Amino acid sequence: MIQTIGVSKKFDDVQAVSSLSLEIRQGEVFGLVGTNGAGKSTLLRMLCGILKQDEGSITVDGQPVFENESTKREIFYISDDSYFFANGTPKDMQHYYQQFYPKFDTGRFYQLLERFGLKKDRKVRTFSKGMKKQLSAILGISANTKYLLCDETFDGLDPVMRQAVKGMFATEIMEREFTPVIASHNLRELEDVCENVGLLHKGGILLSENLEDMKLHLHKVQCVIPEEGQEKQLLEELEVIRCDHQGSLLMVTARGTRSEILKCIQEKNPLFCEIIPLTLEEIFISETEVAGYEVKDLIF
Amino acid sequence: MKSRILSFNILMETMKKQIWVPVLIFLGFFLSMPIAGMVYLEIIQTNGRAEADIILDYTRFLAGTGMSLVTMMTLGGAVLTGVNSFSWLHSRVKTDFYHSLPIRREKLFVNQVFLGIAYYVVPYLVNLLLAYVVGMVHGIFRGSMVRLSLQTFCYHLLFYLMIYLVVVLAMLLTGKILLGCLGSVVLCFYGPVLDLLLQGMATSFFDTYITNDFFFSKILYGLSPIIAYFTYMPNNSWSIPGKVWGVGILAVAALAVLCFFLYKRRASEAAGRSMAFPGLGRLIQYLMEVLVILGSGMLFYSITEHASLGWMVFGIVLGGALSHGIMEVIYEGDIRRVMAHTWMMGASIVTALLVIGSFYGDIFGYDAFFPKQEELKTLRIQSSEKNYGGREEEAAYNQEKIASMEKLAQDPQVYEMLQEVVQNRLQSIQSSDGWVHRDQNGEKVEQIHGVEVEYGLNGGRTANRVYYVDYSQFEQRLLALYDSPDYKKIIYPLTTMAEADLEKRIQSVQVTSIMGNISQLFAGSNEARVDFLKTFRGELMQMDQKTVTEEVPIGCLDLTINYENGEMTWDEARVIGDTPYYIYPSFTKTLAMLKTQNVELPETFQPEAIKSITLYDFQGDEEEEKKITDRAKIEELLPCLISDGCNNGLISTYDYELRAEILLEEKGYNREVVCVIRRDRMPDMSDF
Repeated sequence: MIQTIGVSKKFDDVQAVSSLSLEIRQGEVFGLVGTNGAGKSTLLRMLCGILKQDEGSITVDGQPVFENESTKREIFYISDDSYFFANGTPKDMQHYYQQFYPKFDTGRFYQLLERFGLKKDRKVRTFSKGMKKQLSAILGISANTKYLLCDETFDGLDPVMRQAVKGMFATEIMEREFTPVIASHNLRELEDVCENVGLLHKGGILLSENLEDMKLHLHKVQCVIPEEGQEKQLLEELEVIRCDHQGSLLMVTARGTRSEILKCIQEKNPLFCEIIPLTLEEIFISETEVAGYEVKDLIF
Repeated sequence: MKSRILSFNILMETMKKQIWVPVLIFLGFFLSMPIAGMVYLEIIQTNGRAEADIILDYTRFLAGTGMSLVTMMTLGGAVLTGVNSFSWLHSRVKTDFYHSLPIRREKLFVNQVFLGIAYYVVPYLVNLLLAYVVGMVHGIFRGSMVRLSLQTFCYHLLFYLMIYLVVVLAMLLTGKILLGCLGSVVLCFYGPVLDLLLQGMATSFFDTYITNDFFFSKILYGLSPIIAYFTYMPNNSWSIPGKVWGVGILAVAALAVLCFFLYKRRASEAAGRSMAFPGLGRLIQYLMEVLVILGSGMLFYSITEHASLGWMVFGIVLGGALSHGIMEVIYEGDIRRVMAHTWMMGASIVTALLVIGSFYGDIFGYDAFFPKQEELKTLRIQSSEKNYGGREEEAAYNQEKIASMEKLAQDPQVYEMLQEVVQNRLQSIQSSDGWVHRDQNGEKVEQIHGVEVEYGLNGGRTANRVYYVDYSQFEQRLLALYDSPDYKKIIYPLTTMAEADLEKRIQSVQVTSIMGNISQLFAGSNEARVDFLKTFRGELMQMDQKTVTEEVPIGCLDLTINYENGEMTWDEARVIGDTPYYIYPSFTKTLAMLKTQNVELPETFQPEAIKSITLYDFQGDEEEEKKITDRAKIEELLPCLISDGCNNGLISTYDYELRAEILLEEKGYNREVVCVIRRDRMPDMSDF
């Protein structure tokens, strides 16, 4: 399990991560989403021991990460801009990583290379951006570590390859102890693959929940309440995150289970009522709006 | 091989991706050693030289000392591997890659430094071995070559490590590759440049300053591994002083620990920043600014004709603004921040003003220094013209010489004279005519003479001063020193050498006729040479002030010192070998022994060979020139002529300033000789 307690990190005057507490349980696929500059990359770099937190503690399976060789042997970090040796080939990279990751599965590496159509002796510098991403993911999988930290790994992959990489992750989860942590802006992609999501905003975590729970406790409702007084009462009763009017149509995003929200609305004798499921993107927008990051402010 | 720190597999994998570095260094050594060795042997073996000389030359070649290819390879290799080893710290992508790997940072550091050393050591030793093979093929290989070349290899390695670690230090302190390279230059040359500036200030503002007198000069110079590398290199002797090894190994160890500590402390996020440690960065900025301000202030002070204080202040302000602006732009990466942290500029300017002010006002009393006699342990006095451009090395003092210096220090008459010299010293003032010397009344003095004094104090400290005085005022009292055997023992190192050393340490004696344009080796046996030297130094000790004032030297001995057996340091040999030993006409026994070797030293030129003498008088406002061809007048001038540059202890030809260019015709060829004439012996110019 990865656990961070009150972790903070500052770069000069910029507070990148602030008092962040988070738990990533073993065997789950954890998605890290957040606004630009929310601290996703910084958090991942701290989780894999590149950066040392200014405050708080980070433990992986109960052990600190920074400068801890044995703990780091169970973590593989795929950067958003991975480094490959000048003139290096996939084979060279495999040789190098093999020295540091004792469980590196060479057979699986070559098998995956072949599956993805990457040549082991071709120079990595001649690869496209997407091919480099694939190679990084293959190296990460083959390192056979318990934890795989991916920073924007799916960006740059075409839809077919994205599915292939997702499939690769799914296989690993099925076959062994494997906990991928995926940071991405592409919320739709995370929605497909993640069980749990951590929502970062301005260096802090807004929420960290199971995606299904999150969806179960946040709903968007469209309804028409004929009496103005009852509509006002409804809005007071619900934990409203967002509320819009389109003529007489009331659109509300509120916290609560489907039945709780429906019960409240039914009591107000609506002319029309419909509950629409929220996408992760909508949840993200709603939650960040609550935290003061409104989409409408960014539209000029 | 698998240890807690070093891992053979990691070393091999790391080397594979940096393979161009060892290959390049190997190629460099291959060209510098076996290939250059073959070429070198081809050249020296065709010159018909003795085998012993060829062996010695090839041994020197293998040692690779001086400005050799091996030295260049050492310097270039250290910089190249230093930059290559840790330049990845300046890239965020690479830093993330290496620091995400499950390897402790100390292990990463040690493996990289190990490779940095191996990249130099392996190519060096392999090519040295190949160079031995070249020597074997040419039939000149000797076992001693191995010992001596490995000894100098250790020296090269020591300084390779020092320079390499300094470059690594610069890489660790900075976050950008260009700044890392600039930082290496700063770390390598800050000390010597600061020392040069302080010495420049001392020369400009102190009247009694002697080059390299500051106790901290050696430390500041030693701060540069490159300067130290060349300074202590065994150019002409195989011996490397133990303290060089001691200090060198300590410096390498200290640098390695410092680099290790800094690497562990260095945050990964420092990649791409100007300075990896912000606090240290400001300290370095401050030190750089102070250096530039001092340099700029002194530059503007010295380039103006009258050494203007106003220009100096201008230089200080300009240097402060420029250096601060440049450093801020580098640090902040933003031209608009050019004047940020102005308090730092203020602090740098104030520091520079304090330093310059302390020299200008001599607040530490450098010029006023004159110890009480009871504080003096030893004393050495000599003419400043005889000085070698700095302090005489302590290595050149033997017990007998020190005893004489102690006696001189206890002599009340000498102390009293010195006191007067100090009280009447002239002041150096820069004017439109250049530097002039003025007495206490502000009068310009033409006939100046430098009296150089080394005070050995009871606490073991030595202080060196030069006092410029009006020669006419002190001539008699200074020349009276020649009556003292102790004084002669101090200024003539030959007189205090043990008899056994005369044979062992003096390799050859060259006798030069001052008037006869002849220079030849003393050709006798070793015993004859030792006898000759004993005779000469006996007469040297007999010499008194009458000899030096009334006689003109007719010959000079040049001693070649054998310091290759390691019994004598280069400095000691330099002092003994560079001291001029003049032969006066009254040295009859010496002259007689030379005659047995068919060496004649004519007292003057053959009058019939002189076609003309052109006299130049530089004293006074205008230069006076007269050409004399009349035989009678030429014969009248002959006894006054002294060979130019003839410098004997407290007497120097530079004091006389009457120049005579003599055109001679010998064996059908014309030759010109430059002499000087003592003003007091010069016949009235109006007669010519």
